[in-house]
Amino acid sequence: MAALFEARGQAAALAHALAAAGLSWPQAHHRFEPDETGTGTVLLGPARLLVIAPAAQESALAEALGRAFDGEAMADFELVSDMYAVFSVSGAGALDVLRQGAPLDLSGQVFAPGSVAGTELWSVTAIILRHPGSGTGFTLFVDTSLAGYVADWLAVASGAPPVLKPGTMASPPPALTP
Amino acid sequence: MTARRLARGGLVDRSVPLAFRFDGMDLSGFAGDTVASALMANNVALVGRSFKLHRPRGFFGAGHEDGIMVSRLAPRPATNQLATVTPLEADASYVSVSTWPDARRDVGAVAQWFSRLLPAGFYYKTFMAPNWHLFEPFIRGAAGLGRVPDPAWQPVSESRYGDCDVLVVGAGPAGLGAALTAARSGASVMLVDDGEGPGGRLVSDGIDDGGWASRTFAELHTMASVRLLCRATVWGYHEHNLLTVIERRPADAPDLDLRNWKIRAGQVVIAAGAHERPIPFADGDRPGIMLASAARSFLHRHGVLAGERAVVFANNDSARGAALDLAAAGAAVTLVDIRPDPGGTQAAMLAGRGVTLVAGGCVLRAIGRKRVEAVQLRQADGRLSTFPCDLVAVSGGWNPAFHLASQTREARSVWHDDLATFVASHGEGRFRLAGAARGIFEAGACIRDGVEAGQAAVRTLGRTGPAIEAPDLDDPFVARSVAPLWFVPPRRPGEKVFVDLSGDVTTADLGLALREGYDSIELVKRYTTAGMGVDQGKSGNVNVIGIVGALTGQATDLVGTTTFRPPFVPVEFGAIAGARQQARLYPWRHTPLADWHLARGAVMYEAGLRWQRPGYYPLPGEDGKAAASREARAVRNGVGVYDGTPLGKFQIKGPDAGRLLDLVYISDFGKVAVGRGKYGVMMSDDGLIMDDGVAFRLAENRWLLHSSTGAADKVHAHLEQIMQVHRPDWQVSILPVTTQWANATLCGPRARDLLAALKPDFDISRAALPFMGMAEGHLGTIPVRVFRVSWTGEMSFELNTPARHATALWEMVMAAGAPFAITPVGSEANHILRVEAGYISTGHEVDGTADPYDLGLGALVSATKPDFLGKHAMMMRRALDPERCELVGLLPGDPERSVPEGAPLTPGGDKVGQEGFVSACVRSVALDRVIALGLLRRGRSRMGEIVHARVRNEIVPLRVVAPVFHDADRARVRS
Repeated sequence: MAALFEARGQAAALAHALAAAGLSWPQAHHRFEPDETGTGTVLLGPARLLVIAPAAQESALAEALGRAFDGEAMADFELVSDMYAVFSVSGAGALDVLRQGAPLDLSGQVFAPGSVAGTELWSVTAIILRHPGSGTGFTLFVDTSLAGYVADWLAVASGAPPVLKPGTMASPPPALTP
Repeated sequence: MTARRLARGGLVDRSVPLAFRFDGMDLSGFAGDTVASALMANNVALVGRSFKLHRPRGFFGAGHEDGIMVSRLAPRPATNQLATVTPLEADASYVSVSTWPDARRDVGAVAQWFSRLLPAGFYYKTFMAPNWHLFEPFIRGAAGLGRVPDPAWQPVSESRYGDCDVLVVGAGPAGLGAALTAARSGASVMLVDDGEGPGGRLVSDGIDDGGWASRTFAELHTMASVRLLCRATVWGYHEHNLLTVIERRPADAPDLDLRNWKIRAGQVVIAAGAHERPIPFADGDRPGIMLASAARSFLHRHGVLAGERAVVFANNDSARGAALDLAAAGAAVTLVDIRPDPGGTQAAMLAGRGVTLVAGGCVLRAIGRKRVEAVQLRQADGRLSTFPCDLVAVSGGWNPAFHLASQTREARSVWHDDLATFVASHGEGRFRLAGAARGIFEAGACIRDGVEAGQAAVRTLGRTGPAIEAPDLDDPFVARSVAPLWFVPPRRPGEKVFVDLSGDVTTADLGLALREGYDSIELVKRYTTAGMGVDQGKSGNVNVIGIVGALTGQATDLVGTTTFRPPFVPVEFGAIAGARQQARLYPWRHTPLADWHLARGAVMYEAGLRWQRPGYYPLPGEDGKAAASREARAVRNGVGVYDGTPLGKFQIKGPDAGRLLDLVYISDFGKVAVGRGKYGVMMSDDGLIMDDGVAFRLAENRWLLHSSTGAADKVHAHLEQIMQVHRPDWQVSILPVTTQWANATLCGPRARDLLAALKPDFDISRAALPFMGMAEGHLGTIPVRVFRVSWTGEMSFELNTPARHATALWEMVMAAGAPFAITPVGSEANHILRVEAGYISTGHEVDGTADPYDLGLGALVSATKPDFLGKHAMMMRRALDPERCELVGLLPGDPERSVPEGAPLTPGGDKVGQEGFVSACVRSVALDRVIALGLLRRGRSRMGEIVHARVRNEIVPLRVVAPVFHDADRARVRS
């Protein structure tokens, strides 16, 4: 599990809080350029920022960000590690698998290593990150409530059997209808 | 027709014979055959029956312009496979569609005896009484479409997206030229062709290109920026250069049957070629009569000579190529050209190569029933003669295939006099037509045109397309000097001249449509179904327009055209769906406790905004209602726990956070103390309730807003719109955190006892944690945030923890709750409990027409706030309509009588305008009877009155009571 924090607010306040927490402001929108510890920030919009870090740093970062944002009236943050399921899709066929569900052009020429986008993936919202450096794989962040759905789709899209467990259904049984 | 396989020629592999069956006959073909070419090679002329009249039919085209379909019984049973594009498979078994017992002996052919009773639109006139639906199954059953075998093959399908700088449609001479040019410029290119390989006309017409096509294709193969799709057809051209492509048996994925592409292209080059059109004449639909291009294609692609004694019937130069090729392959060929002087010295040249020219002649009628045996000819001097033949190859000119350009709605159909057909006007820059698709037919010119199209395409992308030298090709016979002949009028009444073979439409049908007032070409099309069959009018549509022009005395270009729409070819729905089936059909959401619920036998279904939640947890032998009642009783008498994770949660922070809440809620939030919460009703601009929820003040300027589950997305969008559009100057940040937190809501009179048993490290006394209070701390090592809210009419503690601790928290709660007989509670029990307590629910009482006063929440409307969203609209509506529907309780006269939720309340139960409806109905565990809530006009002033619900033809009397059946003073909630 990765440590994830989401922050929203005015850009100046966000930048100020990040600096107070010892984090750097992203060089560009939709780019993830982590430091040597694997920690980095991503601007997903003018007022939306994501901090991505190794799980081991979650507590320390939560504390630092808490202190930093407590002093910011114009920005807020929250630990959202639990809110996102994280998938890693790698290998020679990674792009072909994702393109079954992603309308966004994820080819290396357009979506270079380190690129990040909040986009659609098989009808759900996902944040897609092309691995920095080698850029040979992708990390997907999807709402944890949709993790089973996405996992099942990823399995089938990559040629494996479905993985979703039976037991859920789309509508109440007739016996419950008065 | 005596068709046969030649010893040489074609792209089939004669070293790989394939045995197959068709309509009970054991036959054989070769690898590389289509079903159609293999049947032709076996001299099987009659391969199907026509759509309406069950007339004998053979192959008319060699590609998508043909309409003969087969059912495949084995392997992979499927129906409606277009024979001309379906590759032959070893040991496969095929049958003709909609014939019995087979195409040769079809009993349905009896329909021909009644053909005079079955003109265009006959079913509109004949089968009106008593009801069309009485006849519909028989008529549809008799129509010429295949019946899906049982069990049917389930193709493995994939749908996927693609992107490229340049998409080239068609790998014929123009397409290859365009693709090579674009690819050499460095652009990313996708080249899509519906054939087994590249070449298009270069292959079909046997034009010696010195290997240019295969060399070009090989070069494209080596380029990383190029993706080649064979057996793939572009079937739709949509907005913003999105094109859809159906790819059959993709070369890169052996386990796939179908792949549907959605491709976003920077530029598109449409080099889709052209379709030859017929010259319809009497009985011109007999097996053995086909397009000249089809005869040529069968010859060059499959090494099949379609007949030994051929008549080539033409009005343009292109058929000479077919005539010469057939003659060179050994057929005796007579070229009947309607033009009196079709090209000076050509007669001698043709004679020298074995082709007899009948200049100025005309084929009047085909003779033969199950296959053509002769044609009736009229010579230039008017003499009539009967000419024996086993093949008639027809060429009435060519229709450029600009369907895709037309689908963009940017290109119009423009009449071209020299070609006697329509061509497309230019687009607006996002696509280009090239080659035959824009009326250029000579192969070398097509290549050059493709190169220019490729250069123009990459130029718009800021690239330079290199010049490419086109080979010198010998291609003298193309569609030139076309003498339009839309049909040959029948000599005798009753002779049928088919203009659309797929839809069984004759020239008489067109005349009938015009006589009956369908004088627009679009109406003619719809009334007769011309162009609406399997081939979508690819070959015959222009003839239909020409004939309508001839019958109405209009110039062809003034008749108008019909509209090209996707799909260009039939596309399986399964291919479009791809993996979108079963659990992948719809994005259901699950809480982190889904496995826990399922392990305890929970029955799950949607309970708002795609969340799958436990409906109830049945014990052995229990049905849903019994389980829900048991769970509800547990909450009333002891303690229950339910999963409230899906409730919407939004963290709101900033100096103006309080102002935002005061704006969106009807209540006054300014006085809420830190650590306390308040119930609020949120309205939309129109003064009607949008949602209800609770906001807790975490700090002076920091709140946590809870919305209902089903309205969470709507509430989020509402808040964002206010902040981004209406109040951009306010200093507020909104952070959605719904799924960060998992939930276990303890509810019931023993809830505090249970919480105490969990050993919290914070004070849970009534004084410290009262109703609408909150606390933060730990239960053991699990961090929790506790809110005192209730939706059950009992004391409740909502325990929220980061989702990673969800299962551990629930296990801990269940273990500590065992002495209290804790019971997991599903949404059905929750529904019972909230109805008993008289709490409103979005989707039930909050139905989009109610305001807070209607639902008895008027006391929540702030009297001190100057304004809030929806206030003015609400007040104005109430002033104009004082007789509002108000929330009431309803008790059926029969205490066991349930009433469906949504049942209308009408005066006396009569079938008149309703005065309200039943919003919820449950069997109460507190009162041990059925109770209901409803919205009733002037309801609060009608307490004790008997009103009536109409349930189909039954009238159910209900007594109006107060809408709270349990804990009316909320003492238990506040305990």
